[in-house]
Amino acid sequence: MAKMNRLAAKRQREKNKIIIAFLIVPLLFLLYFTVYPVVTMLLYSFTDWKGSATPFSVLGVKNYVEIFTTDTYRNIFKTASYYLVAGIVQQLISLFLAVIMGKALRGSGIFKGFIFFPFIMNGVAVSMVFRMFYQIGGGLDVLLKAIGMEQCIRVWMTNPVTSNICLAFIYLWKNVGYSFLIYLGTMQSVPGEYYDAAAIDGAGMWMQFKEITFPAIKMIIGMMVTLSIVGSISVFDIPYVLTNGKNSTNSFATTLVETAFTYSRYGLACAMAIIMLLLAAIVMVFKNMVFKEENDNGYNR
Amino acid sequence: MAITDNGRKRIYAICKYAILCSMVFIVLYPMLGVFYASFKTQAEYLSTSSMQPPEDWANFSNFYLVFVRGNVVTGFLNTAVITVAACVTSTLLNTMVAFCLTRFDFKGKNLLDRFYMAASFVPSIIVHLIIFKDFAAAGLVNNLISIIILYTGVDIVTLYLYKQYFGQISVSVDESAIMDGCSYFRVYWNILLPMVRPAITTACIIKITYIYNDFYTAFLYLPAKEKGVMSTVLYRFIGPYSSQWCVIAAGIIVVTIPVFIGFIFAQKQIYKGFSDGAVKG
Repeated sequence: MAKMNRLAAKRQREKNKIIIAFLIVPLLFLLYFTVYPVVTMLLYSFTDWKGSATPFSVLGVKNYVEIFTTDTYRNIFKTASYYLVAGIVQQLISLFLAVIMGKALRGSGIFKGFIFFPFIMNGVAVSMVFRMFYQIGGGLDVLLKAIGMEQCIRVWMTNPVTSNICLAFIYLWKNVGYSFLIYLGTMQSVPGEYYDAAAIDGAGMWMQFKEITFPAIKMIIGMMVTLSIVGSISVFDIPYVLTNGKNSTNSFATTLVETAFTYSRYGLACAMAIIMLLLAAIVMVFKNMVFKEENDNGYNR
Repeated sequence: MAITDNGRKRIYAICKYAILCSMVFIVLYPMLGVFYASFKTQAEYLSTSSMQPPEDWANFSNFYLVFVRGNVVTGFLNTAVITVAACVTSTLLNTMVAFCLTRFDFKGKNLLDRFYMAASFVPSIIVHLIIFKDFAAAGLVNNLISIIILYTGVDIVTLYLYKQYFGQISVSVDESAIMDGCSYFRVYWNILLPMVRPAITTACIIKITYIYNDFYTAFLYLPAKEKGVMSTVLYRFIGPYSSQWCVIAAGIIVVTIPVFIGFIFAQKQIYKGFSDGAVKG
C-alpha cells in the first residue's frame, strides 16, 4: 500500500514536471506576443509616445478623437467598407460555385484547382499581376475594348472610387477559392441520400438548398463571414503594393504602418490598433452570440 | 416528359460548365498578360497589346535579370530556411500544448484554453508596433532568427487541430506505455507524435503557405537586401525596375512557379489542410 502511494506520488511529480516543461515556453510566447503588446498599446494609446526614449505626455482620449475626426484616418473605415463588400460578394460567389459543383461533376477537380490556386499565390505577386492588369493599355483595357465597352476605359488607379473597387476586386479574386473550398468540403459531407429523398418528395433545387444544404453549412458561413470582416480591416499587401495607400486607398494596416514607422506617431498608431482590436473582438463576440444556440444543428457541428 | 427532363438536365449542365469556364477565365486572364510580358523585350512590351503573345518565346533575358540581379536565389534560400525552422518549432510548441491540454488535468487548464481563444482576436498586424521596438533593441532585425521566432507561436487553429487528433487517441495507449516504464516525455515523443502525423502535415501545409505569402512581417523585420524572402525580393523589383514591366513580370512568374509545382504535387493535402484547419478549428 505504501509502495503504491509512493509510486502514485512519483507519477504525480513526474506529471507536474512535464506540464511545466512543456508549457513554460508557449506560455512565455503567449504573454510576450499577445498580452504584453495589447496592454502596452492600450496604455500608450492615451499618450503622444514617439516610439523612442524621449519623454511623452498623456493626452487622454485625444488620439481616439483625432482618428474619428481627421479625414485621412476616417478614410480607413471607408476603405474597409469596400473590402467588406468584396468579402460578402466572395461568400455569395463561392457558395454559388460550391452548390454548382456540389454533386459530382465531370472535370470538377480541374475547375476546383483553377479557382483555388489564387488563394495560395503570393500576395505581392498577385498585387503585381493586377498592377499590370490595371495599367493604361493593360489587360483590363484590352478586355473592355474586345467586348465593345471602350467608353468605360479610364485611368483606373487615380480616382479614389475606381481604385478602391479595383483593389477590393483583387481581394475577392484571391480569396474566393478559399471559401469555395470550405463550402464545397462541408456540402460534400452531407449524405447524398438526403438529396435523393428530397428529390423524390418533389423538392426543387432551391428547396434542396434551403432545407438541406443551408442548415449544414450555416456555421461555416458564420465563420467565413467573420473571417472576411476581420480580414477587411487587416488587408495590407494589396493597397501597399498597388497604390502605397494613395488616392484614399489607405487601409487600417497601411495607415497603421505609416503612422508608426514613417511619422513615428506611435501613440496615435496604438489607438488605431486598439480600435482595430475592438472591432475584431466585437465581430467575434457577435458571431458567437448569433451562432451559439444552434451549435448542435447541422451535420458538421 | 422524360425527354424534357433530359433536356432540362442538359441545359443545367451547359450552364454549369459555362459558369465554371468563365471563372477559370477570370482567374487566368490577368495572369496570362503577365506570362506573355515575361518573354517580351521592353520595346516589344511598349509597342504591342498586353494580351498579344510575345514574338520570341525563347527570350529569357528577363528571367536572366531576375536571377542575376534580383536576389531571387537568396530569397528562396532564406524562405526555405525560415519555413523549415518555423515548421519544426511551431509543431513542437503546438503539440506540446495540445498534449498537456488533452492528457493532464491541472490548475488553470480551462483558463489557458480561453486565453488562446482570446489571443486569436488580436490581429497579428498590430502587435508589431510594440514587439518591433524590442527586437530592434535586441539587434534581431535583419536576423532570420527574429522572423522564425515570430512564426513560432501557438495559434488557435493549429492548437485545436492537434487537440482533436490527440483527443482521438485513447488514454489507455499512454497508460500501457507508462506501465512498461515509459516516461511522459517518451509517451509524447515516441508514441503520440508519430500517431498524429496527418495533423502535423496539415498544420505544416498551412504554415508553409502562410510564410511563403506573408509580406508584412518580412518587410518589417528583414529590410536588408540580402535578407530578402520571396515576397520582399519581388516587392523590391518595383524600385529599380519600376518601368521595366517585363522584368517584373518574369519576377512574378519565378515567385509563383514553386507554389504552382507544390500545388500540383500536394493538391490533395493542401485542400485537406485548409479545410481541416478551418472546419475543425
